[in-house]
Amino acid sequence: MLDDLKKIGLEDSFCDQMIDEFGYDLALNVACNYELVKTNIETLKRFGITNIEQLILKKIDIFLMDNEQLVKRFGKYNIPVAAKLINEDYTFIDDLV
Amino acid sequence: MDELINILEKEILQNNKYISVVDNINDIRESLMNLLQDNNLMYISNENYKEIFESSKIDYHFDENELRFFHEMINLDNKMKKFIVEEIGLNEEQNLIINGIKEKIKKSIDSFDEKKSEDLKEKNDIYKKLLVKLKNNGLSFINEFELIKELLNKYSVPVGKQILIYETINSFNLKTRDKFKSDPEKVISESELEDTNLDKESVSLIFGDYGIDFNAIPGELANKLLKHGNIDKIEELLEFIIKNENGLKFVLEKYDVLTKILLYSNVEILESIIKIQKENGIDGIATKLPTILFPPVYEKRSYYMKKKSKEKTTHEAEITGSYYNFKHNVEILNELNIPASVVYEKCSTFFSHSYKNVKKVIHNLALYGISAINEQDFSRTPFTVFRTTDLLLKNLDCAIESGCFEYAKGNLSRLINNTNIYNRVKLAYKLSKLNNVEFKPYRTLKNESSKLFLTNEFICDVNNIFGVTVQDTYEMYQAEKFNFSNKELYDKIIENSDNDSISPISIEDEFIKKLDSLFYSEEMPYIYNFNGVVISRNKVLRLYETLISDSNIKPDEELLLYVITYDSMLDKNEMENIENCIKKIDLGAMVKC
Repeated sequence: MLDDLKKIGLEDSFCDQMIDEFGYDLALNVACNYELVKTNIETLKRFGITNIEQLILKKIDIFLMDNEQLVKRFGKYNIPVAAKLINEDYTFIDDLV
Repeated sequence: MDELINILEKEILQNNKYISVVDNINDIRESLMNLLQDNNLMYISNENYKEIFESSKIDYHFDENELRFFHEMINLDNKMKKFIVEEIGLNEEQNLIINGIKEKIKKSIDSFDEKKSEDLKEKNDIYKKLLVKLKNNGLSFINEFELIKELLNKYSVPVGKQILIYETINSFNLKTRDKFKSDPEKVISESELEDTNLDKESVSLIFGDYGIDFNAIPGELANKLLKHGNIDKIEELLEFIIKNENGLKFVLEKYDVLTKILLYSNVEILESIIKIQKENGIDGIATKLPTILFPPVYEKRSYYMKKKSKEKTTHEAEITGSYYNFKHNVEILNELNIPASVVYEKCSTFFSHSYKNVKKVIHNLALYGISAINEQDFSRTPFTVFRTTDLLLKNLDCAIESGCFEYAKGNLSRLINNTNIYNRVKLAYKLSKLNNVEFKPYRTLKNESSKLFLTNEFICDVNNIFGVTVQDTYEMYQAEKFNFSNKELYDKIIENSDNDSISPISIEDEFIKKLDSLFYSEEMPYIYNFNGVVISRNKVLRLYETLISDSNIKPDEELLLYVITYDSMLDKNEMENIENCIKKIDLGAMVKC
């Protein structure tokens, strides 16, 4: 259900932003994968990434990756440096992941 | 079909030339008739000569002697002319020349017929409509065959080729007929479903057989199943879903998706998905994108938003269900020889993007010489770019006009949303020139990557010194706009069109060729340079093509200025630069008929 977006653990108002940004179809897919999205958010926060909401809106695919895959890709880089670059400009993640 | 399209484009251009000559004659008719009176030719001024003859679209076929006569007359002062005419009188040779000129003027006027011009305008309307139909080959052809036959014969197209063209058109008609009959890819709405009014107890028992507690399904969804569900179909689908080897059991707990599968999908669709997954190495994609399991449906969605009043928010009907997008997007990747597995790893959501949009993005990027796919390394393609729509072209033009084209090419994901980044860069460049300060918009990376990254002062939207919103930046830039008398008409046409076509209709157009000859250089493709003001050439071409393809629009100076300055952030100085450049073209001095 679309309401499962709230189970990701972000502000309700942000959930509405997600629906507007993604459209109904993609939002429903994300809602169906709320557990995976939530896990990946925790992983990225542990890496030191702070612009989580911007990344969700612009790069939702990162959050739909298998968590092991996400960790493996970040593992190729100096994580604090990668996180700093991504925090400054989210498009850096295109080159990293 | 290309041959027929080329013929139509040629006819339209030729007719346009004739029409513009007749329009030109109408504009200068009075002046021409005046010149034919008495000895008025003798008194022609330099300005008159330029307006009537040099700028004219008519070729009068003046010979050397006649041209020399004009040259001598326009350089003589009026006193001398009067003296020659009234005191000395013209000699036989001079009279011959003057009469010859008058004859040629009369002949030229008479050879262009206003009625014919009106007929050609009507013909062009028909040709343009036919052209649109041929390019969007989903439409039906009923009354056009006589016209097509006439054109193919006029251009002596061999019989064999003619037959091929007719066969192709017939195939369009068959496709349209079949589509009209039943379009398997049309969006279904709940109102189209039959009312079956199933018994809740029976349905609960069936669900129980498959390990599903029917009472756990939210009321709204359960009621839909009971109202419209088909028992046989439900059983068939559940039987398929629970099989381990199909990998679809996860859907039994996703009640929203499950309901839609049971109401709108079928076993053939599910089998097709599993087959595509296996053939393309993308097993498990249905878990990431469960909506690929059913075809597109209209649904009124309700979403609870926690407001102060704790009201339920209901939204308008939207479409969900991306089976056909999934199927066609895999086909597109196969056509491009890109492994679907690579795309799945990098951007799983690509498969649920509108496939028509994916094709459009590939086409639109190609207009700017950009390959949507990173050919050196597929995995580095920013697949989110396929989510974009109309903003792609607008953002590309803005990037070009701000000197950020190379940046945009390397950062395609920056083209998908409304952005003020490029305007900020343009403003910063202007300010740096005014204040004589170094302008360095890009980061210097230690790994000396060739990819450009703008510094944070342009990217960050919060409290940006170069303007948060587009309006802020426009104000700081002191941007101005022209007032166009036909703005409303132009705006309406542009807003109702995709504006993504660049064909000989625009490229071979006389006005565009004139712009190209004066303001375009192959060394700097994709731009027009109007005395230092950079404008996206593709923007001009595609908007111009949209507008002149409309029968209500006549190309003129105002139209050119409109397409050139459309959506451009320009200050007063730049506007004047462009206007002066256009005025210098002297739009009357086009290719002569």
